Amino acid sequence: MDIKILLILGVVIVLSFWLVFLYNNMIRAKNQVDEAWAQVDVQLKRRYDLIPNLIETVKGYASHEASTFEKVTMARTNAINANDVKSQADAENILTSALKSIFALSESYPDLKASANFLSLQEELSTTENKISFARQYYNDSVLRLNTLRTVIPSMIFKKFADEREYFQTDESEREVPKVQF
Amino acid sequence: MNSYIKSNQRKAFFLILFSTSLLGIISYFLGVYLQNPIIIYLMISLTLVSPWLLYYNSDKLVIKSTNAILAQESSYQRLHNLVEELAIAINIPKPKIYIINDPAPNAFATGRNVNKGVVAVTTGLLEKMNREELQGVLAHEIAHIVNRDTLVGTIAATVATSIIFISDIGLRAMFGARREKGSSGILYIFLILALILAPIAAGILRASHSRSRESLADASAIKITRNPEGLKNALLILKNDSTEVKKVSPGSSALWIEEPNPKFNNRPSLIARLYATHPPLEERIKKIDDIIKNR
Repeated sequence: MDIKILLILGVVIVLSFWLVFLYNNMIRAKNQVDEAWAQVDVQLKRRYDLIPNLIETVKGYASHEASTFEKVTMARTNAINANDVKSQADAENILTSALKSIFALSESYPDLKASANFLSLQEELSTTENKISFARQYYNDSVLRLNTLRTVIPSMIFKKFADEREYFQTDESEREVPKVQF
Repeated sequence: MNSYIKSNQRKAFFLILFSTSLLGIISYFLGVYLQNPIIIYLMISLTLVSPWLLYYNSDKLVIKSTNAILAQESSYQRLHNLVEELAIAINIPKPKIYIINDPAPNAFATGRNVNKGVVAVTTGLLEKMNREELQGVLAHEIAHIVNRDTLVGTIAATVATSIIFISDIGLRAMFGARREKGSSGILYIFLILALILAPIAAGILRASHSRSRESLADASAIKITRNPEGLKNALLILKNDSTEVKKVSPGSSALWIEEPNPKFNNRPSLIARLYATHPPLEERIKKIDDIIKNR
């Protein structure tokens, strides 16, 4: 065989390996975003599940704070019904602040604050809140990676295999500090 | 960061290679001296399995040596929650959690990779720290696991502890022999071994534990939690607390978040006195202050 043909064959093989690598990289980034979103979703659902419990417990001690409960229940329903990242993020922000008002309310009911059930719910909600922000942090990092891959040369040639994703935005005030203080 | 992990994996490999060769050499000379086939075969087989023992079982040994017990999820709800949060933050499987019954606040991590991670905390740590501070300490420990510091540290701890054990026997044998007068040759072998091995153990520990390691884990922890104050307050509590963890072999002291002070060990070992494994807490707190200022 001619040396030229061998050379061309070699270049073609290296080039195709490189293209496969670029493609796989893009798909991996896309799957990572999906996985990260699944984790966010799990934690959001966990929070929806905890809220009715919380309201029941607080009602037992502070039955006449109906408007606060109403607000939380509504925020929860809106969050559950949100169907894209942007509206989900907005609904979750409203829910987070509504939940804060419940915990603020507990300050004026010492019996409630001391009840074991409430304390355990408070810990569960704190950890869920933290898990949501950590999962969101990881999701946003993954989105950044995917969106970068979609725009930089050379991997942009495969951008039609993975759609651009949206960041899970939070209130400006909350972004810097992932910790929660109820 | 990836090159740091690679370098740690290389370190672990050479550490295993080195200690296996050391054991091989000792076995050879012991065999030549003793002329006892059973002991020779025993030593040869021990030498052959030692790399695997070191790689797969060092973590279990370290956990055993501190009397740590598995933390039940029902009784340590908050601790489990905290660890799970951090695992979500960096997308790793949730490490196992152990509790050490000791009033001194301290913690350590072990495990050869992120899938086999273990964090252990003392009951004192849980009592003296709030949620944020605990989060800082746990993030620091998990950073050690991710950086593979635990791989190097745990193997080094096991090797060093074994060497210290052998040198201890040697030194005791020497004093025993002096009293009895009629000293046999084997005691001299142990003595020579002890004198040669003690500095080697210290060297292993020093090589396994660079001073920058703790600050690097601090920085990684802050990157995970985005809350430098939590870790800073935690270090302040460690600094102002004077209780010391009781059950720590000098070989494993490098694994802890704060140096478990060797001066309160009943027998301050030669190795422990040769050097200290941790940078002072003040230095680490100052570095965190710099991070807070530059935010």
